[in-house]
Amino acid sequence: MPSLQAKMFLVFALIATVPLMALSYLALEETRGALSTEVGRTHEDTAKAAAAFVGAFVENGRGFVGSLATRGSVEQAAQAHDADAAQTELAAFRARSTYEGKSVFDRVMLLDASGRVLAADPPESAARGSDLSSADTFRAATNSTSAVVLPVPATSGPPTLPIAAIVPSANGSSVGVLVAHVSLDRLGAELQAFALGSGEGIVVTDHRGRVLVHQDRDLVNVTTDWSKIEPVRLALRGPSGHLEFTDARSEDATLAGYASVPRLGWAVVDEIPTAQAYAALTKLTAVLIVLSGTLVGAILLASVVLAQRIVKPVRELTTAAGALSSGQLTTRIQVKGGDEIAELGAAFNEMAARIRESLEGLRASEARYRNLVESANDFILTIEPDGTVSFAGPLAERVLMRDRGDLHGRAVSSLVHPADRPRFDDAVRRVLDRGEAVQWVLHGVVARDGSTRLLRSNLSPVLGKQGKVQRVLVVSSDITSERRQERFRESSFQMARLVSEESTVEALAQRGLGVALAAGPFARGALYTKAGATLRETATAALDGASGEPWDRQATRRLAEQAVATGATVRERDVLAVPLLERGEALGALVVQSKDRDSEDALPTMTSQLAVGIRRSLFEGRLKEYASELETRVEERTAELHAKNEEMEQFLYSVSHDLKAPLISIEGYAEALEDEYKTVLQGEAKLYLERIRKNATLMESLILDILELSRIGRIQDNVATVDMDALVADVAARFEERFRHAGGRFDVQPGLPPLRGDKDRIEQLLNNLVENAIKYRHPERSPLVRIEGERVAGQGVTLRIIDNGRGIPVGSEDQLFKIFQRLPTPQGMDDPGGTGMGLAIVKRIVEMHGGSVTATSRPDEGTMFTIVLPAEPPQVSIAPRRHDRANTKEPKP
Amino acid sequence: MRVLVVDDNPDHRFLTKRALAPLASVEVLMASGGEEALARANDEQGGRPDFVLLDIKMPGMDGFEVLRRLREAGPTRDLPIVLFSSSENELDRARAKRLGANGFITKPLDARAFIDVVRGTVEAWTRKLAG
Repeated sequence: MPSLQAKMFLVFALIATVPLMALSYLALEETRGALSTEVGRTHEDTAKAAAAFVGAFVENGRGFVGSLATRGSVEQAAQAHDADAAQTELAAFRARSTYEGKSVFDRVMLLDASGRVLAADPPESAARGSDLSSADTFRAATNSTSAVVLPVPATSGPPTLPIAAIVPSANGSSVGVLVAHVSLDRLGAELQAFALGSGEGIVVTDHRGRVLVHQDRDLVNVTTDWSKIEPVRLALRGPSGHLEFTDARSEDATLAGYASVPRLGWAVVDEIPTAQAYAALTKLTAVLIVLSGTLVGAILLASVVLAQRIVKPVRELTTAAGALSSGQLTTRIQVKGGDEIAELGAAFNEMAARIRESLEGLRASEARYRNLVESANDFILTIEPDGTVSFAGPLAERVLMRDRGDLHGRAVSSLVHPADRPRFDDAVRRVLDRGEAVQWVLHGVVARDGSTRLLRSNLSPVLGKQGKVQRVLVVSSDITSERRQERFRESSFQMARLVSEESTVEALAQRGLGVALAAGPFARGALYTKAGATLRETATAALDGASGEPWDRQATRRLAEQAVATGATVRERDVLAVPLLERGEALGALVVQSKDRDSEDALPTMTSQLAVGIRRSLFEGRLKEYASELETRVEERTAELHAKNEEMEQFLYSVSHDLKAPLISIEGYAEALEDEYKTVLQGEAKLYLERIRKNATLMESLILDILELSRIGRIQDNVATVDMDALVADVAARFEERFRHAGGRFDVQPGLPPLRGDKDRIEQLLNNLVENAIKYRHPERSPLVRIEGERVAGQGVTLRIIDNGRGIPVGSEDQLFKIFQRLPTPQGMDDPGGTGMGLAIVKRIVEMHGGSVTATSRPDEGTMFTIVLPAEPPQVSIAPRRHDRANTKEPKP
Repeated sequence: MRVLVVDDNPDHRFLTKRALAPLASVEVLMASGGEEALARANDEQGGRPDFVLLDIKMPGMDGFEVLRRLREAGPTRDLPIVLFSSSENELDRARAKRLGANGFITKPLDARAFIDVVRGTVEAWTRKLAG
């Protein structure tokens, strides 16, 4: 193991690290070069930016001076020689011409047209009246129309940059000259902000190389000539650049970026010691070296691990396994040393030896295996890679109804049921391609006669000499009958549910046929039901994908008729008709196209279930017909009744009206007779006349009662809650006089329950009953009438009207309520007179309210009327709506 | 006051006339049918009635029709008319009111009932004219 590791380490050290180191070095050098150029450019950019700033600063100053020179107030001060006004203007100018809050100008003065100082600011910078007409500034200004920038004068103090401009009058002539000195010291202070690095500084020289700005103030002197110093020299010549040079004064290696200021021709140099400039670069280099060193170390370490643990043993084993799997069963791995690889190799070798042994054993048994296959009681086939059958067992021959010669060379797909073909082919392909076994493939096979059997097959590879799959062995079990039983049970259960659910023959037939077809499965079917003497085709159906000859409807009808007539199953070729028998009677027939005789066993169960359902449907249908017929008849009768009722009412009204006319005449004449012949009529004549009038009155009340009865046709829209306490009080008040007269009493239970109804009718009802009680009172005692009542849970209200009158003869309670029915007046009692209508009206009113009235009585003791009214009267009574009689009235004859 | 009694029944006519006899100020005019009633009501020579008692149920033109025609024509539009019937019926009452009758009396008529109706009618009429 150590030797292996060392070998791998060396190889990787050589292969991986040397080029990596070389590459790292090259990359470092390249980076350094690129970075130093970049640093130089950075400083060049700084110099350019500083140069641009200088240009802008000076131009800005020129702008300030130009605008002051053309100011009206300055012109007036110059023209008027007003020194004080000029002084004020100049001071204000300096105060406002600022950059970053400080004045740009060191000093400023106004000269008059002749060149004498008129005013200056600060005032001590120039004496008033001194003649400067010969100074460069005055001359340069008077020669130009705009502000002029002059060279920096060689003075001993800090250098300033003079800018001069004439002060023009309205006509354009000069009335004076303005001279302002830009503070270069101020400019220098601003410029140092550009130099960011340590030791970095900005140097500005004028066009002659004199130092104007330097971070070392001592060097700033117009007499210091730097035109020979390398960056300044280059800047005065060209636009910009950068270089490394050795500063002659400090002898330091220095990096400089330089640029020239346009127009002014000044040089701007950004210089920095090289060591400082490259400080960042040096640091970066160090980091790079450390990084690449670490990387190399990591790679080495990884390579050692890889070499030791994985790569080599895997490769060796892969190679050996490949050889083994391609049939070289003698392949062995060379085992050296005692490490893990050696152990693995030994194990591999042992495995190879075992495989070889078992495979040899397998080959040796091939002859035996063939015998086994031929005698097995299983369905066995072998399939060649081209999909043809190369061997078929005896059972396979029987099931498929083809002999060996017919099966050999036939495509196996043609034997498999079409619906299962893709699945079966897929299984065969898997065995051939991958050499793995596929189990539990459920599929149908089609026999020569077209019948289908269901198989459960296991497919396994048969290997050849090279270990390759030569053919597929199919071993199957015939599960057709198992499956069929399952289907029977399922269908039978479905049919039972169907029969209990469906109520019409059509629905039952359509769905039942579907279930029956699935039980087979049968390709096609039709269901016939008896309709009188003939058969009706109630439903037809075909399974999806059903094939075969088209359905001959005439032939199936004939078969169905035959089955119904004989009550037995009839067959013609593959068409089968089974009668729907129910208690010995054929209610129809089920006709199916069958390819599978065994499945036909299910049919009698199906048909008897269907027959029960159909019988029930027929019965229910008939029941419905009867019900609807009955309903129609009831409706007709009700309508007739309505019509009759209406006719009756109209007749009653008409009759009573017409009866009244002569009655009125009779009464009228009787009255006239009595009036006019009062004195003439004597004795019996007078009595007869009285009798005539009395009878006329009785007849009138009869007629009125008939009229009333005809009107209680129905409860109209005036149903309301009736306060019975108040209503009974009204009734009592009405009869008060008569009770008092007879010495009787009216006794009312307080707190009678309110009820729902027509108040006027209820009042009439009470009137009639109380009236009766008085009319038929007992001759020997004063009348007593009691009214009581209570609410009855779930029923409404009960009212009782009890009297102490004569009572009713036993057994005649029912007669009481009949129209014109009057009970006989017992002997010795007065006929109270009456129409016999009062109780009929009472009964009618109660019935109109949906209630009932009964009378119980004890002769000589009294009568009790019990009225039960519902909580709410019915909305519509059987009586028709009353119409306008005036329109239908017939003229009198 | 001239009262026109319209009734097809001669007995009723006679009895009505007799009932009105005690009223001295009443002069009774008679008509036995609708046509005759319309003629009498518009007869200027014979003197128009001041009041009409009109039976409803008559052959040919019935009381409602007579009432309708009297209310249509200008001269009789405001004539007080009271309908007169053997039997009482709420529908007939309602129809009479709709057609513009001034009252409704059930037979037989007595002088007292008549006076009440006339008084009521005159009062209503006065109120109506005043209003």
